[in-house]
Amino acid sequence: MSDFALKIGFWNVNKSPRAISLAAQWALEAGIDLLVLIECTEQPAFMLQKLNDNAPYFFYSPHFALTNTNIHVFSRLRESYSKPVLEESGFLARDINLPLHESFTLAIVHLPSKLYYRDEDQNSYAHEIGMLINSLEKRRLHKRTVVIGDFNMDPFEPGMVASGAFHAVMDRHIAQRKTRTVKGHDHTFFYNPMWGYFGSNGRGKANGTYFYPKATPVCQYWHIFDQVLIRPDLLDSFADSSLVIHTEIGGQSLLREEKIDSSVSDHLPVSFVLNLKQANP
Amino acid sequence: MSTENLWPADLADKRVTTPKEILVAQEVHFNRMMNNVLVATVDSYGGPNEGEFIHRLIISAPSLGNYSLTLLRCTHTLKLYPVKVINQVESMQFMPKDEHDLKLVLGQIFSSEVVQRSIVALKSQII
Repeated sequence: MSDFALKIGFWNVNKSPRAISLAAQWALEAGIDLLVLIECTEQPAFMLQKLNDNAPYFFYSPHFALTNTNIHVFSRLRESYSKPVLEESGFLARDINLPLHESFTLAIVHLPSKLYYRDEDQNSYAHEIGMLINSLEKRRLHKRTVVIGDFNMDPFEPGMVASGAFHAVMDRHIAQRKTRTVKGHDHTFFYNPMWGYFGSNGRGKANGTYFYPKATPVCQYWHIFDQVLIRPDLLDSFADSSLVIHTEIGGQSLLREEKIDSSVSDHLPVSFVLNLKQANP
Repeated sequence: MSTENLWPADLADKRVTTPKEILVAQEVHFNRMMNNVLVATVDSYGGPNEGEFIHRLIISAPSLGNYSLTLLRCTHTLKLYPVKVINQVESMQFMPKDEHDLKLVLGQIFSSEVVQRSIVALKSQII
């Protein structure tokens, strides 16, 4: 039996009917197995109609108890293989457990926007989510965790990098050391491959995943708020080359005049592949 | 040298109920009401800033693979009050100024229609 290549895609569709409509096309075109839509205000049934227009591939993965979220998960996996394990506003975690393959925890975040949270508030909240992930891993008895979503922070911000927060580093080899001791406490790393996608010389076809031209002295224009963080225990299952920031769906560009076409969404979709290893008997 | 005691006479008797004590009491009430079919837990840890404390009130369903729903989180400093309380189901924030206020806010969150719907939905999947 071989590894199972699970392609995960996520997109903050910014409540846009155009983006929601395109998301289904994107999932089918890009061969996405597990689709996460953030700020998706459309009914899941509508999305299922679109996703299963030609053949019934996709299932809706419902939340257990969280009733008012606009994060929705659609998947080619049956519901029993993708079960929610922790839910709260802006944070969902699911146990992805395919038969005969290693399970992992998929955490999905939509952290507060810079419009409402100051940098200090964002960092403080990132710290809380970091603690929440640690406590979840203790309960699940493993550290095979992937965190995806709209962090509303760039990879270099303290909330992403600090040991008490996400502790996500740009260097795969450093992440492979697994932990770092700070003030006597061991903190597990995440690997954050998104660092490599900044700017014109980055790995992506766009210079980031979010574009915001602010009329202030400091303006970096492009941001990477949409990120993928991988724990060291899953690094063997992730190839950097599988990570794509998508700029086109069905021949339609998501960029306009070298910027993100915000009439579709103000974020670009991201996909990557996890090659799930065969589970030990 | 004066040996007069300048401390308030009742200082040793004064006590404030901490936010954690109030939350733990609610945890006990919930578990009794739900016969441990759903289990409330208060998860506490230090915040990112010196002297900051965070408590999460989490509802878990042991028979659903220990699925958990964070109901609310409280953040406070060494002064205990005011407490920042966030209803994590509805993303609503409150700032009770003392223990009386905190109890009012908790009661309000627990009675909220959306929170009740979430708990009932969870319980209905078990029983």
